[in-house]
Amino acid sequence: MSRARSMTFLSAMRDLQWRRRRVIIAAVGAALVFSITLVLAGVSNGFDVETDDTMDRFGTDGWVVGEGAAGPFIGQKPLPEALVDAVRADPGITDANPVIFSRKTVGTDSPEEVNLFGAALDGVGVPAPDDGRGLEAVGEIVVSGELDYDVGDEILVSEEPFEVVGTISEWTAVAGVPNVMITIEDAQRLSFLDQPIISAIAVSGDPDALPDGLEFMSDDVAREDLLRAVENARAGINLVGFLLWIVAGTIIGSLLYLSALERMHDFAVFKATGTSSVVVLVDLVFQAVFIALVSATIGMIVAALVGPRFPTPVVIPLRSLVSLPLVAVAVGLLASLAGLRRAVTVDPAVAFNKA
Amino acid sequence: MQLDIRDLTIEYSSGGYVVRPVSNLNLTASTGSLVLLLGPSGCGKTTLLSCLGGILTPKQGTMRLGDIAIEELSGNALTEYRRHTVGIVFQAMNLVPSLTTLENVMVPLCRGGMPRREARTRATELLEQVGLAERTHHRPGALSGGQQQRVAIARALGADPPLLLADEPTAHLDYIQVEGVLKLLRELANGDRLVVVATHDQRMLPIADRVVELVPNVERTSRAPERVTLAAGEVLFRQGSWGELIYEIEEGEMEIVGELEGGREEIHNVLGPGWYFGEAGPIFGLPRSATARARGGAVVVGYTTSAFRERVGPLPIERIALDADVVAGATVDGDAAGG
Repeated sequence: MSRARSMTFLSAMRDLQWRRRRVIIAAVGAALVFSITLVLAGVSNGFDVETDDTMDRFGTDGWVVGEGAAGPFIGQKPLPEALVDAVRADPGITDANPVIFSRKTVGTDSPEEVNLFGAALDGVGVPAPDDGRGLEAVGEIVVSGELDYDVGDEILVSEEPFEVVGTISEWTAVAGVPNVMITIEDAQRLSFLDQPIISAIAVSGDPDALPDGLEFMSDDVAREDLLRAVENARAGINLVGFLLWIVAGTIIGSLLYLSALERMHDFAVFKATGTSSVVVLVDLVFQAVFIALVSATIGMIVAALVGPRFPTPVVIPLRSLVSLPLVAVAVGLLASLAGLRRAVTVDPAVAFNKA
Repeated sequence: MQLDIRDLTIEYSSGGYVVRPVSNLNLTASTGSLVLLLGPSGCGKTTLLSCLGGILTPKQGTMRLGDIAIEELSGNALTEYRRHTVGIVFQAMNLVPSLTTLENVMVPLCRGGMPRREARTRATELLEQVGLAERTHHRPGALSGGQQQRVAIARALGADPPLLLADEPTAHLDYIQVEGVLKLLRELANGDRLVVVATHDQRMLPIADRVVELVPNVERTSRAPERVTLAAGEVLFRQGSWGELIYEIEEGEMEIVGELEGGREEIHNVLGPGWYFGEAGPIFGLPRSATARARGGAVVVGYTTSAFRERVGPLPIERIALDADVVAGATVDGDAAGG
């Protein structure tokens, strides 16, 4: 059987070489679709990665939010700043700091959207900069490295000038939007009309009994709240990704169906000369697997080249890289079913036809 | 080893009609000989080869090659028969265009279980045997028709089968290529091998040990008209049979009936006195394409083609359409029948 199989692979490979132009076109077409699928998976995964990174930099064990709030960020329910001291007094809490979250723009000529965090000067809920120093006074700002500003530059936030004192590399959230951090006082002026109001309280430890009107929220729930802004986009991306799988399958399936139709006479001759239907099936299955794997490989290379050029973080998950060839093979085989069926059921009497 | 065919009838459906290209055929041939199945296109030569190759199953009858009952083979036994016992040279050669000459011969050998190295050696030997040792790495498209035919023969000889079938092996070849193929087939029909060739090429007659004409030698000369009296329901001739006479109805009515698959019938026409029918078969040398049956009692007169021409003059071409036996019929004074 192994000898028969090796010759099956030979004849299948020879046929692919024989039809190399269309095979290349189909493989490249499927590869491009696979690459887009991978990039989209990377975009979707990028949402998670940047959110995890942003959350990790807060260094919290959890968050205290207004009762009924969906989260400390998108789903915030503003709180009086005075409640921070009450939370700090909880015996289970080792540290607590106010946090304000809002969306603003920076720059004037072509304003760029940013996620603005108001934070304390140190302690929990205060991301440490990679370059420069942390906040020490009002009028200072720590910015994402994704913004084109260096330490010492002046930056306008909602038309108010701030001095950049530190930067944090690859610090983004909500689909690649850069983060910036200013003092609580500045954030209250920009977001809450200078009122002593905050979005939530970042905490270390596990509170025993919070004051009335407050509730504790884990980092995981807070993370989901920050992702809430991209859930619709993620659902759309996933749907497009699914449709692209169908497109890739259609490309491979069309190629193999046409190939099977054109090789029907060859298959009839093989059968008439003693080749079993199983071997004919293996021949086409091998072609489907080969084209799918080649397309998947090219797709990975293209995705690796195209990914960094996307405006949002593209972090292609390892599981996608591993599953792409497997899914590609499955899609290729599924799409080739019509061709496989025709090939297996071909009547060897066709071999006696004139062409 | 001997090929023994008994009472073989092959029947298949075409367009809903029953076609019976081979009917009650008997044939015996021994290994070491070359048998020629001779006849025009459509007479059942290729169909008979298909049955011998284990590709079609006959309606009735037996085919024995030694102790192998070919018509009873199925599944793995049939696959093994096709691999090791019979080699087929197809009319269109049917070489796989993507494979080299050597690979075209090797692939069936390996699929039959032969180790790759051994298959390569065997394929090389076979290509040398057919005079193509220098063309082993060429693709079929780079070979002449004669060379392709020789590769097809080499492929068919891969398993050294005792039965070699060749379907119109000289079709598409020029006379120089024909010579080479004829010599090769003649050489192969020796020892333990029987070669059966289906052809309409009369040039092959001298190399044959036995010629089987699949078309009866239909009478072409004129002779006296033959009056036939038929009882009600009696069949004058049956669809698929051969006949030499064109009939004119003197008395009664005749039904022209098509035999359909599943034993069903379809009445194409009912003809009365003065109408003739059954002209296409004798004129074109084809089997009857419909059955003629007396509806009540009937009397018909049969004429040979030449006698009929003398009686009615040249037949208008539109009355000798392909289905003339089925739908035509006309009066001897020129009125066209319905249909």
